[in-house]
Amino acid sequence: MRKGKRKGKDRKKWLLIPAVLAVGLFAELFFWKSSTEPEFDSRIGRRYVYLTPLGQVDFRKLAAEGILDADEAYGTDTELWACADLEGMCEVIDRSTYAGADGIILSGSGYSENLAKSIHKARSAGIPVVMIDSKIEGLEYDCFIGIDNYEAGKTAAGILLEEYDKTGENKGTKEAAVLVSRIDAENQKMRLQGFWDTWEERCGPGTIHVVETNGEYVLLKEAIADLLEEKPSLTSFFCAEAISSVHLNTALEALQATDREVVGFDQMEETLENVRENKYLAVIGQDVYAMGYQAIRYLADESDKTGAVEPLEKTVEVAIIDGQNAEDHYGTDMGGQKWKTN
Amino acid sequence: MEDKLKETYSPSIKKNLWYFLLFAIGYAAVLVCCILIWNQINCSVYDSLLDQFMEVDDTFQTIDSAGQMLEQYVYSMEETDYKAASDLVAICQNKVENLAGLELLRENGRSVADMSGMIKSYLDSMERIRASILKNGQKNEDTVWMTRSSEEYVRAETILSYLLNERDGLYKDALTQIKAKRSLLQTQSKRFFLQISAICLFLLAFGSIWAFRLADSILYPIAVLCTGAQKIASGSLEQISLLSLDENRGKNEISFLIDVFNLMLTRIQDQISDLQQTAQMKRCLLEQEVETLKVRAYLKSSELKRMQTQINSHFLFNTLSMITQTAYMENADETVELMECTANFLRYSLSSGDKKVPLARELEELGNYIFIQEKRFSGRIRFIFRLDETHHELRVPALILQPIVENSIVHGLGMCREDGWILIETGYEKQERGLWIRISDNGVGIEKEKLISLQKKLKNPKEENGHIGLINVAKRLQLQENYRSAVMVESRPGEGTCIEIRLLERPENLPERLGEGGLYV
Repeated sequence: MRKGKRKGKDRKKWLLIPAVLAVGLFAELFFWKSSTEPEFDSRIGRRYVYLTPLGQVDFRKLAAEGILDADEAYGTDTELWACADLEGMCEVIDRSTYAGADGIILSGSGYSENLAKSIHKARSAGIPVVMIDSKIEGLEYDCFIGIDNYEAGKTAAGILLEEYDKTGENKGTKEAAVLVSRIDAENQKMRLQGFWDTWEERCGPGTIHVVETNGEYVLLKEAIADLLEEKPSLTSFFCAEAISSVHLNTALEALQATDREVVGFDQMEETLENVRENKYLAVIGQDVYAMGYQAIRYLADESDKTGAVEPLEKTVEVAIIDGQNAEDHYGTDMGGQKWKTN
Repeated sequence: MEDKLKETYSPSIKKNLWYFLLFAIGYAAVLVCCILIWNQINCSVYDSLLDQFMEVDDTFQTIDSAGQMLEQYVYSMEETDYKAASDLVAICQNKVENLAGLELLRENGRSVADMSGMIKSYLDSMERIRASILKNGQKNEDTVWMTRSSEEYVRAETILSYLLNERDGLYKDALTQIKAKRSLLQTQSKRFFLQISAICLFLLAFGSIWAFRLADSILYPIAVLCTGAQKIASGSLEQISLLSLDENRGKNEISFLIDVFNLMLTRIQDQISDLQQTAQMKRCLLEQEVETLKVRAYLKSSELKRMQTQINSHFLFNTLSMITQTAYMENADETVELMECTANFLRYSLSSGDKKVPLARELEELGNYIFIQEKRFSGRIRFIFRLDETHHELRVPALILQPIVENSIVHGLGMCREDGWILIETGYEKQERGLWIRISDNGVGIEKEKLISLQKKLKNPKEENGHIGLINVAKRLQLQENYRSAVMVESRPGEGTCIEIRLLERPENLPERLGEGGLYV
């Protein structure tokens, strides 16, 4: 009889095993379901807008990386806008002004009256405007963050002179060409000045040839062809802005003059590729990541406190990019963060 | 076995079936419930997403209505229209703030926050438009035109267009979220159904094993029972062994039936055995009865023969008496002695029949016979007696020794010229509590084949008919009830023959023993 009772208990245990298993599986399933649901936080911090006409360029991507990292650090939210043109930038600025944004960051824009009006309207609504990379004549701003362009020119001259010293005079004449897109652009003017002063101090007057390309490849190629025809032994080139940096190597290749020493400017993908392949001696880089980061730091931390009437100017370090560290200057996909366009 | 049956019987088939049914229904219910709950959860998720989408749509419709109402106000310049427009904007504000909490717009927090800011700006523009209208005072076409061309109105229109521009982005993102959610739900559902399938398979396997064991626990004892029944149908009951069950394959009502079957089988086999024993005893009794009848018939036949003999015996005795008197008258003493011995022996042989006489008397009468034979063989055969007279009072059938001595004379020493002897011995063995009589001679002996045949006949003397010599003696001795007897014969051709009679008392504990060439009965 006792055996029979034990058997009955055993049977009940057998009934419990699949029950426990089933409950375990369902619990696991529902736990898994809840664990796969991403957490949702609807809170939004201070809202900023970053506008640039060249969102996909590595140079801008690096700035955006700095901005997003600073967003994470300061708990802010910045919209990234790659605008098609200046009118698009105006629209974004106006929209941000009506939406009550807490700050606007501008980079690499040109000038237009509407843009100046939109910026003015935003500033009138109490929205601080930060410009990074380059100042635009006629546009208001509360803070500018860029490199010391004079210092950048000096650095470029130093690199070329050092290389000249290594290779000796038989490599060519002690003359250099400086390529600018627009000579009246403030930042390019400063870089040219820095280069000029340093180069002439070592090589004497009349050893620098300035080439204005207007940002066009055809003009650049023709100008370089003329220059090389006139000065075939000219070996040193400094591109004082990004567009010339991109196009110069192509032009030299077309003119079969690739045995020249070139120092480029800005972290454009083509420029970085040239320096990686040792076609360029170096690239003078702007620490655009730091610019983006500092822009957010200014908006989040300083804009309310400064109370300054005059615009603030901040500089970041000049970076020398060569074959060894070029990899570090490519932009990333920024964790899937998308640029908005209009 | 009956006690065992009382102890172990408990109805279990029904209980097992109930357990199994409970198991099947229970798990089917659990699975169905889980699937229903899962379905309900998924439906509620879809419902929630749809509600959220409708809320987004409703917000934009409200914004649109607010814009239309502002336009109406600009045309009507009625304060009620302004009030309605501002109320709608306030509703919009609330709705947009609610949008911030929607899971569907989890990626659009910034857009919603911007929309909230734009609505504030729109309200601000509305107030400025109202101030402007109030300032202008009169309602006419110029005022309406002026108001519609004013910077504030353009600003409000721009803000409204920006607000409505957000709709496409939000719709797109909301649909993307719904798609992502659907994809997530599909993944979860796939996993859920995989797990459900795994559980179902497990339960199916578990249930199958259980069902198989359950069926086996019912069918196996039935099969065993059928095997037993088949054996009963095809064979004799007493040869069927008891049915045995594997204990591990469960005990239930049918195994109880098997125990009962075994009990019945045991009882029937016992009864058959009893009946067989009774029949055997009856057969023995019948055989004994037949034997008794045979003996009686034999005795009657002997009696008849004896009576026939008696008819002539008077004439013989009278004649012998007359010869004896004549011999006496003639002083022939030896003849007288011979005649007296002959007459005495004849009288003994004729009168004794089947009577029992003390062994001493038998030996005395044998002496008469031997005296006659001594005279006959005049010294060629010597008769020697070695007697232990301790138990000579034992009663034995008359005339059992004379035929043996006669055989020795006739068959053994008949051809002997001199130095023949016949030794007659008696003795008692205390250990076996038996008397023995031995008659031996130094005659020609018996040939081997005859000796074996004789010994075989002496083992079953009852089955031999018509003998009057040694076999007859053995047969008569076997009929005695107060002792058991054996007649044994040993002989060597040319050397002699020895016949031994053993008479053993018949106590129940006396061991039975086969003698060499003889039989204790």
